[in-house]
Amino acid sequence: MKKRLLLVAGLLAILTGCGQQPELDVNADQNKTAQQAPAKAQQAAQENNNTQPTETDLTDNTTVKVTEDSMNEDKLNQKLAKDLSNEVIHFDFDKYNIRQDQLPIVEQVANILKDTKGNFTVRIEGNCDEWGSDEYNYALGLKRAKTVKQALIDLGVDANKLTIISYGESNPVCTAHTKECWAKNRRDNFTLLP
Amino acid sequence: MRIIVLFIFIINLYAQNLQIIKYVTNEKPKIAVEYINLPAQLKNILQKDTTIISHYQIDIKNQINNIKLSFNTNNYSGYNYLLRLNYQKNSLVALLYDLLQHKVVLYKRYKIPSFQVYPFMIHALSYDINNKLGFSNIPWIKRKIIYSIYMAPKEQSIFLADITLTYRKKIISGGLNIFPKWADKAQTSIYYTKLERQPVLYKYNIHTGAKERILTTPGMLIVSDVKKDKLLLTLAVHDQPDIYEYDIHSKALTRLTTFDGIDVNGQFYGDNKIVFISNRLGYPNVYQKDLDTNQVSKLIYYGKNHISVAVNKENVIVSTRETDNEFDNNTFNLLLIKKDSDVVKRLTFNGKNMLPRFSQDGNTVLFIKEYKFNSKLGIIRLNENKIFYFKINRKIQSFDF
Repeated sequence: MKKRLLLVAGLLAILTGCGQQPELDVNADQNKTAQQAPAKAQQAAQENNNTQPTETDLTDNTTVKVTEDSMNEDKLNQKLAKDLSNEVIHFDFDKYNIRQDQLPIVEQVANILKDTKGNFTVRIEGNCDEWGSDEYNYALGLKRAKTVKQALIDLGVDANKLTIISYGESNPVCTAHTKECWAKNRRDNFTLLP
Repeated sequence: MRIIVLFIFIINLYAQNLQIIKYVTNEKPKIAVEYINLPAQLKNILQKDTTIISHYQIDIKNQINNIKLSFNTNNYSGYNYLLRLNYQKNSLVALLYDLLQHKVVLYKRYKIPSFQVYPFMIHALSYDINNKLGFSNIPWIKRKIIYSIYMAPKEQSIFLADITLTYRKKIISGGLNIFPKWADKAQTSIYYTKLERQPVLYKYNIHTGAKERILTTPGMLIVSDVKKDKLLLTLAVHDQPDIYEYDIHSKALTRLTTFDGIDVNGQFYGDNKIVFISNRLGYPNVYQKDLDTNQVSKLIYYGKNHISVAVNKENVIVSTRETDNEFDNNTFNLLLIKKDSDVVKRLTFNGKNMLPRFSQDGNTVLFIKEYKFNSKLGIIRLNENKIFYFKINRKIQSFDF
């Protein structure tokens, strides 16, 4: 019984002893402690800083690089889409050959596409005025798109980045039934596909 | 003198019972129409049908109390037939009585699921009346029409209608839906092209709404003709519009034309030929190809600038551009040409007349007319030498019946 009590007391002494903070020599180490406190605080702060994983992850170099690339690609696509939307090639009545006066526009489109890096697909859309019949008009629109596609390839644009479609007379830019409107509708547009 | 008097006496003796039955060459049989109940809309369609059939005349007379035949035939002098009608709750009872032969030739009930499809009920009645009167068959009058309408840029919807365009129902909308074509004789399904990222061919059941994706290619994709399990398509597989044959079951795609310009509007013709439009001589014209020998030749030698074609046996109808104005209105007229002959008949005279379609019997042609930028469905009765129009306040892109 006595041995048991001594054992328990001894254990208690050890446990409390582990928990005890070492006594400070108030007089001798007071200044030193005072100096140590901010240092320790600083150190603790530094340690805290070093152990904030979230912030560390946010500043991870790999993550930042991908985001920048994505943002850059979106900007480039927007710019490309906008540049292309400004380019329109017009055709003569019932014709699908490229007029002399339209060649600079074809060259401009070629330069835009060649200067744009990355993966993208541009759809060349052939359109007609309202004079014509169903299938023949759609085929005429397609020939207009195809002619321009071939011209762009000849100017060095990657063929894999181009596709064509015909809208026939279904996508007019005007419906005024005038010669000016008909001339506007005989055209190729360019659309950047998502 | 006595002989003359005797002769006159004998004639008078039989005059009361002598009926001279004679159809003057241009006189059509006349039908007196009486009714217990017949809404105005049904009367209207009955009148329209009679007009476009052009085989008989009707005279809608008066309301009666009973459909049964207890009347004095002498009250119908000048008429050949009496038609009595009673419409009640989506059901029409019709009785057609031959006043000269004194017999009932038609006694039938026509039923519809709802009032809105009443035009089809009257068309069925008109079809039967025409048959009972012994005239040539007119199955086209019962056919459903499908057409695509331009709604806005890159927006076209497909509608279902009767031949007078009285009944109209939008069945496909959203986006660019073009070139509808009936997939079967029973008119249960249609093919149509939707312009998505690239053209896609769909098959759509008009009763169930079930939609099946058939085929897709870049550039262009149109069903030009259907014959059992084969389709004639205008495709641009290699960015080049050509005519292909597509087998629905095997899904085999066979290229039929290889010209570097424009080949479109293929039509099955005879046992193993096709007819199509091509600009291989610098301007659009009608050609035929023998699928056994691969020989291509002109089908007709009259005129040029034929931009669409329909064929039925020896009859060829072309839509021909007759003006070439870049800065003014242009005229496209329909010409009926007998194959292998010089016989040419002008069917229209002004406006833009396109998309001719023969009825199965070949005596009726439907087409689209644009005149002053409105669309009309035109019906040509070739033997009767008449054209009728039903107007629609939008532009029709394509149709089939």
